[in-house]
Amino acid sequence: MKTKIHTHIIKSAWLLFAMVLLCSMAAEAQRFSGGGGGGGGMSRPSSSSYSRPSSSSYSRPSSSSQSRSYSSQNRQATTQNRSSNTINGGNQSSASRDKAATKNTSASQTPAATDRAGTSTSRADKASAGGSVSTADRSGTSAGTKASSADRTKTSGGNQVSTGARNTASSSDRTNVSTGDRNNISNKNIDNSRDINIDQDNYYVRPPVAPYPRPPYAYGGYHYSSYHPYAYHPYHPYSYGPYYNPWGVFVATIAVTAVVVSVANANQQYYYDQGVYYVSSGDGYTVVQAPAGATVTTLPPETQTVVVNETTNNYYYGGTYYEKTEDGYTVVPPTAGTIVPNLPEGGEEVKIGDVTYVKFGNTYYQPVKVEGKDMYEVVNVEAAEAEK
Amino acid sequence: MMKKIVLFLTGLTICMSAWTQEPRVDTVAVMIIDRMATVIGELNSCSFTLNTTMDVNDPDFGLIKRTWTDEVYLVGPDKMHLQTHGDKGNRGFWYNGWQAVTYSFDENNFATIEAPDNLIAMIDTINHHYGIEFPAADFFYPTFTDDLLANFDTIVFLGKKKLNGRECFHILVSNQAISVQMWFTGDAFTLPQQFVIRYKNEENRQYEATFSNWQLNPEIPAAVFEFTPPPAAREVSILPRYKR
Repeated sequence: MKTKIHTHIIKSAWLLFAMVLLCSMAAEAQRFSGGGGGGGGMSRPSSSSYSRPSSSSYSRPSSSSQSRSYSSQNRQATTQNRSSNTINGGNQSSASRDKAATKNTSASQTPAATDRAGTSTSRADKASAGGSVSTADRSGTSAGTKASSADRTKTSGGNQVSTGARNTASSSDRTNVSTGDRNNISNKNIDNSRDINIDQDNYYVRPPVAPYPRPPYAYGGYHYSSYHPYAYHPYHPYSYGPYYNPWGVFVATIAVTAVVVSVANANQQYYYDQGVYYVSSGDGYTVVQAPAGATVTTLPPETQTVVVNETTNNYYYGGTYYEKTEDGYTVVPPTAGTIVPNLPEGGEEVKIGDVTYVKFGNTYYQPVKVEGKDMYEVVNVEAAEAEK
Repeated sequence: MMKKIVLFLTGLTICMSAWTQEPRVDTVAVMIIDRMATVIGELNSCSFTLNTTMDVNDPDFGLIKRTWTDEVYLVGPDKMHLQTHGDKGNRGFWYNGWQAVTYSFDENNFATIEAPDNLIAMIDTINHHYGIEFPAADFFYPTFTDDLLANFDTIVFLGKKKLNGRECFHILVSNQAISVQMWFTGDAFTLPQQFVIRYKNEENRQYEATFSNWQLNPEIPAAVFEFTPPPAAREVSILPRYKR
């Protein structure tokens, strides 16, 4: 009796094992009978250079592959015209999908989990979906194509945002964004083509005097910190009067009241007049950013006092900061967290992710509201830890 | 004899336990996803609404929900219009085949970006370079199924479920970092109805998006995809990521 029970248990166990095994085989068979289900395999638009991520490691057995490829080719031939105007060029099923992909794959067949985690999380974050494939592959193959002007005319219908008519003197890190109509810059003669070699190394933002109360805003591998919350207001350059000229303006002559200022370690001579600094440039002078370390004896009457910390004030005029010294007023870099009431001509609004900063020289200013008034705070920009 | 049986059953249990932890790819799930991808791949245009909630980590309160709604209009091969309203702010995005414009309703400013000449390349490029998010973009990739197979070790069909009164196919895909549950309609179109992403390594925070108002092959005027600056709108620069 006991032996019978044992035999029955053994038989049951084997039966269970066999059923599980059969289930797996059935699933595999179902996969192939369905041919992948999608079978889209349609052509992509000819203009697209998109390619599948190379990370896929699935390979298809030759017999199935032939069957699948044949099927796909037929479909491709019949649907090519239709797919040229589809949203994504038609579903593409890899001919290399292995039956291994439809069964319990071994670890060696599967892309490294850490790789997947990295790409998946990244994609899900970026594109807000669960497809989670490598965007690096995609973007690397997709950039750079652009419709011809004829195509544009065809599709625009006259209501498009015309960039062609705009000033195309964009900076190198911008993408087809004009500057000519932007920010109400007056029609002063800003000539960026002149070879003005300004030493920018000493321009930086001094670190903040106290820890920030909130986490930084992160974008593109950098952290942007401020004491005050972001409160957008449009950038309207402050007018400092007729004597003020924005950086980059070329003038044929400078006032006789201009004085030479010496700057330690500077490789050129600077001229100063009414809060504006010039360097000799060809047959005239070009307005430049105030060189840090320059000392002047007088500041324009419109100069304002800005608070750096509880014990230190700076004098602020036209985007330049000064400290009082024995010899007069010495140009210093801005200190992160300093609040200024206005910014002069020459700044540029720059959208960085969700935030629109004003970039003035090399300094980013965040629009803020202080005691109900629109102001700007000097932003502390640091490389994110991971990229340091 | 009894000892042998116990040992055998123990071994079998261990084997099966280990087996169940191995990658799983369910053919039914793959078929459903492929079906959805095929339908979307044959669309010349579509529009839909996407209601999204996402957990974000607040330094003071921990995980809190942000919600927003996207209205999406797509015309193949090279047109898109998108409006986003909610906790992420109020924004619009226009793409006409060669240029993309992102506009902030809150700030009344816009930035223009030169863009590739098809939707998928445009989404890739602009997301990569400028971090602009495109709702549910993955479902529109022509290699969606292959991408899932390449990046997830578990793809399973969890059965038919009722979602918002509709019968749907419930599918889960998962890897070590995230799991994604997707619901596709059980009708002829097999369109995505909802998806939930759970970030396993980030306090299990979730991203949930629900589709509605699906319109397939609607006639959408070309003017919809052309941006016209509102009065007093200001054009601003836009800084690419990883380039300062």
